[in-house]
Amino acid sequence: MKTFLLFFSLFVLVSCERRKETEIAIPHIKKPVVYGVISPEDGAICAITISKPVTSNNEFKPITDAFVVLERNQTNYDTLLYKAPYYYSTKDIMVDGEYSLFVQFGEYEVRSEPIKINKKISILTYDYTIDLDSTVNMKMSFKDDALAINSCSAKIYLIKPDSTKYTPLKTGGPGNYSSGPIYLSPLGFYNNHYLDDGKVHFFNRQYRLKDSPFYHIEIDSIAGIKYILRSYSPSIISFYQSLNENRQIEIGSSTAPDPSWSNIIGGYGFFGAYRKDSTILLW
Amino acid sequence: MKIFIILVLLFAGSNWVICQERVLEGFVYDAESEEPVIGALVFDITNKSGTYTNEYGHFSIDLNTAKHIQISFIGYQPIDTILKESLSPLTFKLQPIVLSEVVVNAQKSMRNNNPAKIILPIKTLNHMPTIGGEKDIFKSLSLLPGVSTGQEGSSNLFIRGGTPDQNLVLLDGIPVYNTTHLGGYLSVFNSDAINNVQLIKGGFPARYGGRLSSIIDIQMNNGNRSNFSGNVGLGLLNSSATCSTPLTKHKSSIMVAGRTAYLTLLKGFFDKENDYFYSMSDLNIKNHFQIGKGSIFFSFYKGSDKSNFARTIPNDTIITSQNIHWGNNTASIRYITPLSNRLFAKVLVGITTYSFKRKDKNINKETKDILYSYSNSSKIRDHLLKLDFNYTLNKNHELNFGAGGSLKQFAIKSFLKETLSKDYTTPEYYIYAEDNFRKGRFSSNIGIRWSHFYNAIHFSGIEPRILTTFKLTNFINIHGGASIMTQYISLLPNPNGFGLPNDIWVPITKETNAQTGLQASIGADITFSNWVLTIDAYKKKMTHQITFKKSLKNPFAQIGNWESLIEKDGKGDAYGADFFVKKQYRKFNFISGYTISRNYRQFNNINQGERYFFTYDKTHDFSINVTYAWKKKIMLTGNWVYSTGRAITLPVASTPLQQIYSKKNSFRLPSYHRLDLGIEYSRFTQEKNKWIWNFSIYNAYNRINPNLIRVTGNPIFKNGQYVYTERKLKITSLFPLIPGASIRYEFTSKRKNQ
Repeated sequence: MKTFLLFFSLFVLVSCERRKETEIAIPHIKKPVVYGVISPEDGAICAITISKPVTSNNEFKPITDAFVVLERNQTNYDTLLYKAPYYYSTKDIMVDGEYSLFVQFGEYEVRSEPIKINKKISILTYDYTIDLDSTVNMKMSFKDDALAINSCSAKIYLIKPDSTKYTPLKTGGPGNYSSGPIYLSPLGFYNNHYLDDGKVHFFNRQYRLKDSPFYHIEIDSIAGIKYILRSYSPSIISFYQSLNENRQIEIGSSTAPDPSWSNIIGGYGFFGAYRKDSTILLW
Repeated sequence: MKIFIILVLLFAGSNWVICQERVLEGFVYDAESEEPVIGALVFDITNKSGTYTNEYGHFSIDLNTAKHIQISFIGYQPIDTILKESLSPLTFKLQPIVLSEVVVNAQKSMRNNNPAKIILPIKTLNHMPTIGGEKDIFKSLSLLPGVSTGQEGSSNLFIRGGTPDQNLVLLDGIPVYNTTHLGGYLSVFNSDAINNVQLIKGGFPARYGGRLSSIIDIQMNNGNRSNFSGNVGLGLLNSSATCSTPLTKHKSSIMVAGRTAYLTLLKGFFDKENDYFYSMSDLNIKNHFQIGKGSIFFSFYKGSDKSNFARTIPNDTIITSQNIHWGNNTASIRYITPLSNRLFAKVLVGITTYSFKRKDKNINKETKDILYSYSNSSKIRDHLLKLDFNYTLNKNHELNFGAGGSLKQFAIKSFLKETLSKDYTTPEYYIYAEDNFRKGRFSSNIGIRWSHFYNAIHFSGIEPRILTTFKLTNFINIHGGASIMTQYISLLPNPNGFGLPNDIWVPITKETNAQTGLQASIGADITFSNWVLTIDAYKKKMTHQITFKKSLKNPFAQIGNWESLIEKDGKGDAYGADFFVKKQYRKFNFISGYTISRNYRQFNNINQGERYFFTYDKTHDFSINVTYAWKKKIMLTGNWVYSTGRAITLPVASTPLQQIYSKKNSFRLPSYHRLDLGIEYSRFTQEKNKWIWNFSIYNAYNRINPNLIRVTGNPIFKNGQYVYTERKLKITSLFPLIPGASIRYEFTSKRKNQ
């Protein structure tokens, strides 16, 4: 027994000092990053940068000297010019035709897969009631086809009684991702839609303006809302679905993240289109 | 069924028909404990043919006019005898050989005709060093080629590209649905209660079915029919006690074995803020009664794990708690009897249950209000009836046939805001027949199995099996075979793959078709001068695989609605080659296994529909085990294992909106390797009882093998957004150098006058 205790004590002492953690290198597959959107209502816009290693910080500098061409039906349509911090098109975007984006800078040359402008979702009818607790209950219907059911987002602006300015209101829907002027709003919002006879409805969507955690606006202090509805091309939907799904997954779990979606050949990011429709509701 | 009964009666009476040949039947037992010796070779020296004992130690051999037979098995002195005229059944008692000779011997006269089948006596497994000195059958099995535990510390086995639920694990013929204790650290099988383990990775006999990848057939000790014996063991993690005694000498016995863990004693020792309670226990009981020529066996197993965790954050009003409880119960009655010299019958009635419960909640410390509550539970209960027959037709043909059925009940429930539940009651039954043929240099096992399963709609499968062996020379056998397997139940995968279990068994439904597996293999075994080399190349295709959908973070919170959470109709594709080498040289014993393999999965909605590496795909998997018996009292052992790192998906670039992920599982973690060393010292007392001291070092050179992976970084708020600096990918090892020690006392009390 003495021998046993001696060996046991020795082993415990040996095991007290031990490393448990180390680092492993992750390769960096360096590629250009292109985010491009076109809209017949707003024109074309493109942001360009270069990817960084995962282990570096996430500050990205825009590429300002790229050659960016918007192609329509496989011919040059317009050269996008840099106006900080994005590239803009000077020509109107036509509803028909097939568009792609070509980007060249330094040693890099990338091109998007071609896309088409998607259909517009128009607001067909709307109705609202205001409860005693100042909750606005709004019901809207939209003219749309079945494909658009998963491809729209909404943004609401408050209209003050004596002002022409609009104040954006966060709707609080899931997945509220916004990237500045590229302006891809919450895709999670579409979970509240359902399809009925070819029309998409907001199903008794309630906007609790009084309880809004960001603005604390009393219902009496606004004159109405401006409602902007965007419908997106499948490429934008695929990109954001891929992004949202991978946010849920932890590295190292056996339910591994799926490959990130992109339609930029030779690069990362996406090229997509959206349509916009807006309505002002005053009360 | 009528035809089946008529066939049995016909075979039972067939002694009169085939009377020109002499059939000998009997049992082979351990001389000390009178436990059956399973897989012992009974060899007809004159005709150079033989047979193996079954799980009850029974054999039946057609000797014609021959009289010279040899009975041999690993770790026993062989018996070489000239038979006198005597009536069956005969009884042979093999004498165990002493410690220095407890080694894996090659059986010289007739070799195993299936290179994918490995029979391991518990004595062999017990000499392998393990984590903390805790002997574990599954950890030892993982050292064999084609067998992997997936992640370190887990006892789940991944065999030839399969998943743990594709292994049919039988304890005395009853399926065990969860095989792990202590979060996968130990298997539920107490090696003190086990007599023998048989692993079949391919060339499946038709008598086995219901799973795609392997059969792990474990037999408990029957109990010592000669003397009162037992042992008491004290390890770092748990203690165990076993006793075994004859109830009527040479006629009946009982064995009781139990284990319990000490982790409860460490409560509050490491972390004052956390309240952690863990308990583990299991109990094995077996009764054996010999009645005439036959025997009745009662087997019982109960295992339980409880993990309760509560955390109170200082200066916070919330208590977070998690309670997990899981365990298996099995019970069976078996009756075996030779119906004639040629016909041996087995009947089994049993029940097995696995249940799992998990409950998480956050409570307000002051008001006791429940702020958050989530729970899930699952249960599978299986009632079984099996009838098996073995019939020795002549010296060339030995037939196995039988039928069986089970009634499976599933209950799956989850609660998060709302309660979701699913219950199923599903009957399953089967019938099979197989022929073991031996003539000259050629032998084969050809069989067919038909199975049927009902869950709202009917499913059935026909499963042909074939395995052939040709003796090329006295040293070389070549083998080839193919099997089709059907599986009607699945275990939903645990996304973490490691740690506390979250085992949810589900039946196939009209949405998820039965899993099928086709495995073909070709191989050879070469034996010369105490060297045994086995090579077996295989290719396996699996259909109707399931996995969780790609975007689910915690699917178990809504598992009551599991069908909406899974991807269906996946395909699995695995191929590779297993190499196994054994060598005995004086006091050295050497075992080494190597597998080179590829293992893929493909689902339409995962990895953009492209085929990807299975998470536990390992291109190279190598192990070596060396044992040296020194001065008959000391046994030195060493293992070295190496395997390719498992497949992982990593981000390969960072962009403003997201991290960019590679194709699924296109990267590898660093390779896994470690060295284990062990020393076992035995000392006999005057009463010939034995003290055994065991010291071991797991991961002797402190290799940091990855278990957990995470990205670290310091967020800094800059220009209206968080900027991460010093980001790093870190891997954490849960099992660095771990010393182990155990002490054990084995005793036998001879009772001469009973």
